[in-house]
Amino acid sequence: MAAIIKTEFMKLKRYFIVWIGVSLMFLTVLLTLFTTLADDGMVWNCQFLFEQVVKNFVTLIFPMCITLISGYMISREYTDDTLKNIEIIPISFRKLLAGKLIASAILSFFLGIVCFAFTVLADFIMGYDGFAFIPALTGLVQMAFLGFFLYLTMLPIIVLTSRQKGSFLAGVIVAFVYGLIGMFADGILQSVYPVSAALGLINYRAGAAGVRWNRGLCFISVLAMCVTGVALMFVNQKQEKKDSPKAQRPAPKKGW
Amino acid sequence: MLNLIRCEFWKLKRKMFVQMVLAASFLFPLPLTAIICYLNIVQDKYSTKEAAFDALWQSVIGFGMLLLLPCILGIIAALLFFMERDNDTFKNLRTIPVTSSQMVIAKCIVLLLLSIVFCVSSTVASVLSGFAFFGASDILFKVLFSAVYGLLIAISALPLVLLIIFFSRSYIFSIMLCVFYSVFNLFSTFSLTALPKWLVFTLPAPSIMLWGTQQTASRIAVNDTEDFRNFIEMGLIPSTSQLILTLGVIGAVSLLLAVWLYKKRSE
Repeated sequence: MAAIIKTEFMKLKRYFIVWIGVSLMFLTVLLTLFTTLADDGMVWNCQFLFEQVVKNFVTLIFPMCITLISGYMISREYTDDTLKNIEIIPISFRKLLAGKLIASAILSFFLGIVCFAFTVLADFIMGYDGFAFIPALTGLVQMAFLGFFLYLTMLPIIVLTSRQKGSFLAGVIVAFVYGLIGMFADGILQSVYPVSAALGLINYRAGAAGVRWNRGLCFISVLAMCVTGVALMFVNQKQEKKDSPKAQRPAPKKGW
Repeated sequence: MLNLIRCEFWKLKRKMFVQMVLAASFLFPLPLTAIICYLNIVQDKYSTKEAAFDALWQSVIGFGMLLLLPCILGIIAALLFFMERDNDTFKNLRTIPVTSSQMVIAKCIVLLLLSIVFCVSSTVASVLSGFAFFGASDILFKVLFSAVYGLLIAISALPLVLLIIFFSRSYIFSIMLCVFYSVFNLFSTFSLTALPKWLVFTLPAPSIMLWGTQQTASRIAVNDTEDFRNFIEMGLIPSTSQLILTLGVIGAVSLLLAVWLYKKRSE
């Protein structure tokens, strides 16, 4: 398995997709800064910027981003027609998929860290008050784990759309909607809906008015999505369609 | 031209795209129905069942049509415009002969039709939810108005088509562009009062949203009455002629540049 994961990273080095992920993280921060224009009387400081970035990261960009990257990594095997070469090694599709999913999990940590780095950069550029080392370190850990937990909640979509060439685009749309719905989760629903439950697991805005996480429910919610994703990997794919009548026709005799 | 449009639909049929667009139009109405039901039960937010249904329809317009639809249109545009390149069929089409401008216009008309289908289907999904959980009212008006939304959103997505042809890189890059465009439009609606007036009138999604809210205000219960009154006082709501002019200019310039680029790339 270690070799498969290592190979995935070697492939990732060749793809431009990681840069797409990095630019989407930059976009998250950029869009958050755009909302500072809103005339809503909010006083922006480092902590508030971080909270707003996290909100946009969770509901708008990251679910779609990680589904896109994972889906792309899987779909390249179809588009480059390399599955047949891998299967004769032999590495089963399930094993290959597991390798790709583990590589994506590591990537989700990385993208969380990248997003945090852009947030700190934006904070320095905008000159907001309240930057301190310990909260920043906490923020870094929170963001990295948030990326990972969100990835776990997207696992069923990624696994389901991995079975057909090009279907990951549909998965991206579903992930976008799935993430956005998290924006509406309120009260106990916050701890039940998987996307917002990921926020509970990192203790997002703990102690703020109206934010009360049921950590147990959050954990169960994220775990349930993760288990569903893993279980879907073991569900057998539909049997290939039988050869068409045209293909079954005996080959014509050669020569006279 | 009709033949070309039919051909484009045949190509999409192979990829089951119309069905996928229809399925995508149900993505928002279903969870939004659950959320509004929850708000109604727990917080007793809506005074009547009709008001709850109106809130659902407005949320579907805001999130399903104005936010999600440009993303979907962008993906379909990428599929449509990269299809000839990927399958190497461009040369065959040119020998028929089908000109670049005919091809671009046919593909844009397909986008427009799919956009209308998506919006009408979203409203139908909301009406079905309305019948099940709330009280659906003024259905014909809502269905017809959603078709108008579909038309306007398709025109507002033409700059995306131009960008997709311009960069002509990959599906991933196109998706990124679409997401940026949609999310930027969404965020600009949050900052309307802080943006310069010319920018509010130039940005397609906020203009369509404000114009649409004003047109439907007499027929439905508006959610954020205070914000809406504020926008009227600030003169941010475009008139019908202003909206047509803005979208017309954006659409015409994007289409002309797209045809020019497509022609240039094909030489």
